Amino acid sequence: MTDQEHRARHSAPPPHPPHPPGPPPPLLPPPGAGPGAGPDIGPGPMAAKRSNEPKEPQESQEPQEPKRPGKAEEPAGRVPPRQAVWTPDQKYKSLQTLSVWTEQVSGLGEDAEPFVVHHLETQQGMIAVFDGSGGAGATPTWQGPDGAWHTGAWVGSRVARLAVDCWFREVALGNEEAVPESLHLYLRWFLSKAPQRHSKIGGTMRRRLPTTLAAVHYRFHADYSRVELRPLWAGDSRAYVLSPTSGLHVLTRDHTRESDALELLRTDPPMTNVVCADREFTIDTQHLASFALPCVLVAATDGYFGYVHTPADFEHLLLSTLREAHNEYEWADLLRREVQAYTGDDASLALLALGHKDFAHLRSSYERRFADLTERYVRGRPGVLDRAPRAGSEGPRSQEGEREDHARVRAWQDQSWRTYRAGYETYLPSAAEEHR
Amino acid sequence: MTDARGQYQGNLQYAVDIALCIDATGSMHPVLDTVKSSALQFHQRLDDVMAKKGKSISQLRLKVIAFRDFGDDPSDAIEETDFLHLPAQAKEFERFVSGIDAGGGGDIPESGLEALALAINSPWETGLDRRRHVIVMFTDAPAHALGTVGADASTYPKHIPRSMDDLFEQWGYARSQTSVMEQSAKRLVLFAPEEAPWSDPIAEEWDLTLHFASKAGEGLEEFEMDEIIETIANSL
Repeated sequence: MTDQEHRARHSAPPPHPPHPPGPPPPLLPPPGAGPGAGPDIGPGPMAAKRSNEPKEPQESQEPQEPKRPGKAEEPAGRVPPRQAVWTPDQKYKSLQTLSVWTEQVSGLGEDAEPFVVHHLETQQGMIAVFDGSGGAGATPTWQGPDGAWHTGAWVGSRVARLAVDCWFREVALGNEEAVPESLHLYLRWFLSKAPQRHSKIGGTMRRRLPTTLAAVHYRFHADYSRVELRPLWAGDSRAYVLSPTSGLHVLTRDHTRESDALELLRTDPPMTNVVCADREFTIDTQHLASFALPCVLVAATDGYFGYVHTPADFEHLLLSTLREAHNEYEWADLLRREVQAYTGDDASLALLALGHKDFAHLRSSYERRFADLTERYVRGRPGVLDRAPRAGSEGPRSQEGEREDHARVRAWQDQSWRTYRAGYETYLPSAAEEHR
Repeated sequence: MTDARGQYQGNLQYAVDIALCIDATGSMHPVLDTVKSSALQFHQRLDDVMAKKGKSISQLRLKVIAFRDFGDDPSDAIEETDFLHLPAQAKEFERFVSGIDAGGGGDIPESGLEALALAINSPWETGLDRRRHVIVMFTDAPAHALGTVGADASTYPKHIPRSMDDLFEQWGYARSQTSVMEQSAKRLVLFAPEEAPWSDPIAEEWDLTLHFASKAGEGLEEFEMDEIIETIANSL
């Protein structure tokens, strides 16, 4: 596409009017199944089944009840949150996916449910997460059929998810390129059609229907030995790739003035770019033409990675829960319970394991990395991290002890981050000028 | 499973400093009465609203700057506290706000920009993580230009900017080298009329602002404390 065509498409309505919401494209055989290995028997129009719905019997699925972990118990009175798992039969074992979605206040979570799709015919797919920005979009905007009002942030994340769903459909059908310009066009178009209400609050922090977006579009190479990756994002949600040998690599750079991941944990700064209906925004990207299989793609909102003590903790969460799980359902269950035990925000995560023979192979592939990670980044952490938090704020005198704890934790964080950072940032994209 | 995340939340909670700039001229009885009646509960109410959002506060400090008009009576145009730790110093906070009597003011514009300048230059927290430095302005009037009214009075603040441009430099912007506030921490919440300088240029051009437009001259009577606290919490 030429620059001229780009400009023309940005200023005109979508060239292919987005389809109304509908089922995603059909699933086709995963890598390893080989051409002609039963493309007509994909698992159906839905890429994922909810694990808290009755499970349909599956030929190849071991009938195991998810093991209940003892550590992070279900909070009393909370409605069980949703999680989704695609557990394929034997022909699809090398493609395993799950998503986890939790909310702080039942029914009012501003993260949309994660998006996970794989198109079998063209061997491409996408995972994505969306975090409605509550501070900037707190205005009650839409009243649901049950009478409950939802904020602009709540609406924005759902509308963005719908736009991504429709955009991917067109990408899979060959009508759109998997590039940020066309995704931007879809997001603008859908947000412009979404319900909006005038707010009596103004100011430069305010946005209409604000949401983050972090996605990874992937496409298998013809021989299924490698995969092409294109992360797409706006805001401070993140996409990662997890390698059995080199660990977790971040693929996105937060749209904040600060880019050091540890400093971001400490400051939680405001975003400089976010998807919204009333101001310009950008969809950032980078292109990794070839990444070795097997690997795991991850997209997560800051409810997952923004409330840990060091960036390495998030990888430890992924691998420690994987190590304890016996199947995808258990992994999803553990990820959900663990995040609910520590997060201060709505949290959602989409995860896609590519190129592993089955779940046992997936788990064993990361055992060595888990041991190394634990040895280097978990052992030696300050004992204060195991103590229960104090309730409420206290006066100046009692803060002395807290400041000493704080200094100890800070020194440990610095040391952990110094050694972890190079590997984590291997694929960190450079900063776009407008987001510095 | 012994995990790496643990239960310690000391560096994951928010250390919140709030500077309340309160117009104490004659028309401001309604909002002053609201602040006075809820002073002792301020900490708990903010904690409750934050808890509903899944967030918690490691330290809360509050500073009050009451302002009137240097052009009317320079002797009582500014009254202020140091940062007070809440809840430990809640009584001191209550005593100060109870002692503010709405009165004076002279002409329509007040000395709100002097109060804002003092707030910007406050001794904000620098040690704890996840700092939030929030200035909340309550006024129902426009403001005199900085350095133009009462600037020769002995009580006029000596080290504040003398122009709007210089004040903007102190507030800061992207890649600013002159900002005296931390970019990641600062917020400005305005309960002020849609008049200069509050709506334009401050709410429209300064970054990280929330502007709740009030009716001019009516003392912000339309605002309940719950709404004020909710707006402050949303800014964090």
